[in-house]
Amino acid sequence: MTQSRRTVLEAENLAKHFGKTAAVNDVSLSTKEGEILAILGPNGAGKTTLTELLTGLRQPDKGTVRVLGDPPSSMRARNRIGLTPQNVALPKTLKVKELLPYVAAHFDTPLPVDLAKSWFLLDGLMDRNAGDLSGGQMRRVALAAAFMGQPKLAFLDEPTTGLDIQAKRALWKSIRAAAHRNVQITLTTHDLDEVQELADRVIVINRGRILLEDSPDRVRRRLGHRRLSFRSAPVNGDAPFPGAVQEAGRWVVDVADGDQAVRDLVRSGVAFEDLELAPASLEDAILAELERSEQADKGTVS
Amino acid sequence: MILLHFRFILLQLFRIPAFLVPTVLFPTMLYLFFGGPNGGDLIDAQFPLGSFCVFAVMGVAFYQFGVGIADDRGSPWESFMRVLPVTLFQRFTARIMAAGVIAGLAILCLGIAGWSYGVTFSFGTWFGVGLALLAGTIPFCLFGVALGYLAPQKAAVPIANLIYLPLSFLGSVWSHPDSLPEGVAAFSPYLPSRMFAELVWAAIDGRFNLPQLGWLALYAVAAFGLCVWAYRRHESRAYT
Repeated sequence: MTQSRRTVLEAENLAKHFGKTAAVNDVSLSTKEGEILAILGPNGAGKTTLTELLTGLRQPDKGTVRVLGDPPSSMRARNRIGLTPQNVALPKTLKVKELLPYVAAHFDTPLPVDLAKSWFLLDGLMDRNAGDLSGGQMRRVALAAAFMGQPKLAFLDEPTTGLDIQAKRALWKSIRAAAHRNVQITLTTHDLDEVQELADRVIVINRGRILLEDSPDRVRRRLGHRRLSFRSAPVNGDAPFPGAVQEAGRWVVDVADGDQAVRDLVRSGVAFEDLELAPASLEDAILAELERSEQADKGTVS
Repeated sequence: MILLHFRFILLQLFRIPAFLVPTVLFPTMLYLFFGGPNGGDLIDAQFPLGSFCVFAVMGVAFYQFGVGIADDRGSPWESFMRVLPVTLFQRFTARIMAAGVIAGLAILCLGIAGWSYGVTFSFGTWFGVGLALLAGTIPFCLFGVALGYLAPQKAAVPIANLIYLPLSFLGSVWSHPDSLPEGVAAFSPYLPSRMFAELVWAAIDGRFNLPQLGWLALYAVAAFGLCVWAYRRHESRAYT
């Protein structure tokens, strides 16, 4: 039997402008308990502003947000929200073992500190001043702080940035475990691996608009472009591969299917050397997606 | 919730010697160098002690509210705090209570320093001085809050010093009004710091200085207006 899950977050037609710039433009979304939603986008796409609107930190120019039926800035909603801001700065003079109970004391049903310690790998950090922690350690404490109130929904803005892969994987496990306890998690990230590992659903935004909404696999296929680069002489004065441009003495092209592109290059008979195939940056992939969607729009219109 | 925040504000302040030492001990140090030795007989010597109490309380108002709020505003931790289920009123009340403790400590140090010069107040005088300090500090706390919402984080300390120290000198808080330069003496009585000092001097004299209290109330109204404007300006820039 499929258990129906409650809607925890509902946003309708959200818009936020800063001067003439639309940071968030007509965004609607809803999430269910236990769901992990990833918001992806290049820098300046509007991810942080959207998170601020959803958590009640900012008021929208237009549209509404409801957290389990309440406005996000209400006390009832704030009792149910956990947040890890993008820039983590903890009170420097508090020890971690003081900070977590302090945060916990704000909530009706706080998470026991010992559990937070084991879930977020805080062994050895509890007696240290927050100001003496490294960036990665601080992020782990901030992540623990977001879950101290046993929230119904948690907003994690780039939660594992700056962590080594081992710590990342351990924290991904903790985030997944929270989702299994029915916490709805909204992640904003640049990290496609993180999305692949955690998210049930992905929203890609650019210039404040939702560009794409799909499962992580499909988004990865659409955005997981590869960057092919090699050295070669031009062929009859033209690029030796369709779409390739010269960057620092190399021919560079972003392709959707890297294996196929290499096969095509070999088949073309071009004398190349020092070939590299690497993941394209997310920004490039999104810009490519944006261009494609704009062209598709124009095609539809014309 | 208020007590929780009160406890944690104090815990943090007591671990920052760079805040605590100047705020609590600086007025006592100045009193030991300049106030105590120039006091004269016991009755005359009570007035500098009262003046330096004014200086201490003004310092707490400017640093605890001005610098403290500017610091909080500039920190990303503030975003986290604003999502916690705690109201601005609760946090602000806790801040006022913490300021009261710091001011109390500063006055205790001054009392001990005065005692070392043989300058003491009766219990009744301390009570009157305490009330005068409490009433007189309100406009300065409000100016402090306005400063906290207007000044950038890194500029808050120098700006607080630029206001607080000249205001103390010009208001005759460090010296007898007769020793002020002629030009300064002309406008000194109109400054809030001078009015605050006169309120405390009257309390030492066993009097209640209603006109000065009235003027300070007007300053408080002006400071409150500035405060509301600064707060709204900050909120609209940072959070709307």
